[in-house]
Amino acid sequence: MRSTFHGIEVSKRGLFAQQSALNTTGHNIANANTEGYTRQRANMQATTGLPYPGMNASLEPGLLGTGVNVVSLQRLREDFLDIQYRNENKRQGYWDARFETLEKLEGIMNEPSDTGLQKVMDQMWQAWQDLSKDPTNTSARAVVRERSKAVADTFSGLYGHLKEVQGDLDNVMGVKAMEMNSLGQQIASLNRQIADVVPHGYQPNDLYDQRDVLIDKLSKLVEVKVTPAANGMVNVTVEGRDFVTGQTSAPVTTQQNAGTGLLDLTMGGDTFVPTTGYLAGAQQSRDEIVPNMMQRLDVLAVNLTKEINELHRKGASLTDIKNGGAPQDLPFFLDASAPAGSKDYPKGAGSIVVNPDILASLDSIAAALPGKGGTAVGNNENALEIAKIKFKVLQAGTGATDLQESSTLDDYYRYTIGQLGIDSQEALRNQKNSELIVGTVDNQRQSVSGVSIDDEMAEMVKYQHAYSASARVMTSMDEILDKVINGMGRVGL
Amino acid sequence: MAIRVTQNMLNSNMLRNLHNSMYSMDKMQQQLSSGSKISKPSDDPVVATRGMFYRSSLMENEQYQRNIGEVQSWLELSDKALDEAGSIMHRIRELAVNSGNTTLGPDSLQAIGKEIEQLKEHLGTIANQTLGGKYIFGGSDIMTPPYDVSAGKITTTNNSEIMLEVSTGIQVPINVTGQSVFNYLGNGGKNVFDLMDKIVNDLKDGKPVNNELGNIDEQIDNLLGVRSTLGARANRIDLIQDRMEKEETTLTEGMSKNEDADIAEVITNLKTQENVHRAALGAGARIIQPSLLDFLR
Repeated sequence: MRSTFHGIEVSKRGLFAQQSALNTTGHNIANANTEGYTRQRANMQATTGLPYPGMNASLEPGLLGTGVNVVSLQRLREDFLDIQYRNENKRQGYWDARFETLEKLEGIMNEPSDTGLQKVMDQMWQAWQDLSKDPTNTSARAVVRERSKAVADTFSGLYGHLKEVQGDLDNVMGVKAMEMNSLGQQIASLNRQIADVVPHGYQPNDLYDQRDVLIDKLSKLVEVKVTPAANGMVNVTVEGRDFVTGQTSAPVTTQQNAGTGLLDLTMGGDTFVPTTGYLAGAQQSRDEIVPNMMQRLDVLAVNLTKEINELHRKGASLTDIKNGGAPQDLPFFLDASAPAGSKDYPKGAGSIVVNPDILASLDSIAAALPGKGGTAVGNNENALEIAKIKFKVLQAGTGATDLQESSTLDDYYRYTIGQLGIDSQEALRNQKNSELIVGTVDNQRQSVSGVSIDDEMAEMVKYQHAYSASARVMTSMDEILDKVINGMGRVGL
Repeated sequence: MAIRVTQNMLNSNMLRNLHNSMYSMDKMQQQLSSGSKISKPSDDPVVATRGMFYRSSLMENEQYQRNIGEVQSWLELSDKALDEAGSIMHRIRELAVNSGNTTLGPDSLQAIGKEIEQLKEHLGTIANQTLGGKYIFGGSDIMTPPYDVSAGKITTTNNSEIMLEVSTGIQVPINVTGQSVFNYLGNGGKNVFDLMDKIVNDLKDGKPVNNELGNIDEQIDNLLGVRSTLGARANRIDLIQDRMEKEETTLTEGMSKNEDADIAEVITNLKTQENVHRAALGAGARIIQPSLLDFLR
């Protein structure tokens, strides 16, 4: 037998449920622009009908409805899309980092242009040619000296810039490691908050969202895998190693390597070398891309200066000719770190200097080559020989500063620039691709989880009407009861 | 089920589209302002390395043309000097033939001797011909006069040719050595100055010198020989110069084809892209704005 006020109770439940749903709608709208917010839905279910089954249950027909309840606030999200998103995100991070570096290198090398290394080298060869035209001419000698200084300066300039890029990347590594560490700590902390409430039957949807955003961010830095754990917590592994386990996260730190002076990464106390993601891209940029370019410049610089030095030492300068003609045995270029008076050839692109003897006296430039005709001031044979180095095919070797394939210096440099272009192009292409895929997956994710104002408005109208209608039912109950209470049993009054 | 589209998706898609179209407009703008298809190697590595090659080759070409100019001025001056030397020798030959005329008395012979003395002095200044302060007949010893005016003797012993590179791997001598011209010993065992000294002395002694005609002819032949080598060399240089000029055109054209942006094409593309951009903006403005909210009261 239903109670007199049954209808009022049913309407009240209706009002509460619709209100809850309206609140959820309001929450969704409020968070329409919240990063990582997942829309929520108030799931309603009719409450258990009357009579409740039991031994003494009355045998009225049917079950009388008792109204509605919000049974859950569901988070509309698909885990699969998260996995896809994070997979692509790490790729994007990786190519981002590589492209950033390669783009910088392209800017530094500045080829093809009228101010790059190629031009400076060309101008130096020209200067030697001009000197061969006029070996006694002081200004031709001065030009050789200035152009050679420009070559040395350009090499050291490029090398210095590359060093700076490497240093920047090292800083980036440090910052990103700190970021990773902080993300781990925040995820662990959210795990703790979640584990506090889940056992009590709550659904901390917004905490889940926050955690997912953090994991998304982490996935750009490194490769992550997320597995569910007890009480709504997740465990996160990075490249197969435990990173966040329940409420703790493995600390990520950096240490300066005593040998290289660069930072080494550790995770949970052990060395950590990421293989993909932004961190890996940055580390590979720092340890491979930039050093590779430095190495190529070194090879170029060492071979260029060696070739010139070998010839220059055999040649006779104006001073030599004045003194009787024996070659001075003077290298044109020296290593910057060479002690005074030594004849050490430059050991790398960063340490080329023009021999101070040549800086001190233009007459020390050896344009002549002692030979059959004796040595006279008009002898230009050595200048000619040195100018010819531009076209000389240097043999490949196995030493650290040898060319790997036989080629001219120009070819070697052009190959270096070509390779840089190709690498950079590849990085850009991959970066664009992964950006596109991340965008697509994110769209799919948004399609499931994103807040649509249209949706929410329609829902709102729906709930509002249901709310009004429930209220109307209650009014009608009120009227009925009014009739019963105030209108009935008043016969004769 | 139809794909749900949310405001945020529209927003970010539109932003992405706008970014893309801005990016390509930026590229075209760069091409327009630089006139070049590429601004960095990754735009097109092949074009970039080829561009480096063309630039380098053009500088080489420029240098070779400069060298050729130098060679030509040396050769021209040498030829002019030898031409003059030839005239002198012919005059001497004439005088030598005249001296054989039996009607000439010792006075006349001495007068001829005087003239030849003058001619010798003139030949000496020819041997000391300079170009920009450099003695062109001094071999590689360009700073010392090859002919000693006070002693009246050729003093150079330097027989070096001075080479210049006029195209990759090709070197040509720019000079004629004074040795080969002025220190040529014929069958008589005397070089041209010594021969002239002898002639002058004989004439002073009142002896005719028509017996020296053979030796004079030998010297004239030598001069002619040297001049013809010079001529052949000048011809060769002219050919190389011609080739260099053509090559310069080819290289410039090649460089232009390789990396110059086709302005008409770029502007057309830019215009198209601008329209796309406008459309994207317009569509964005329409799509982003309204939601159900705008129609509910």
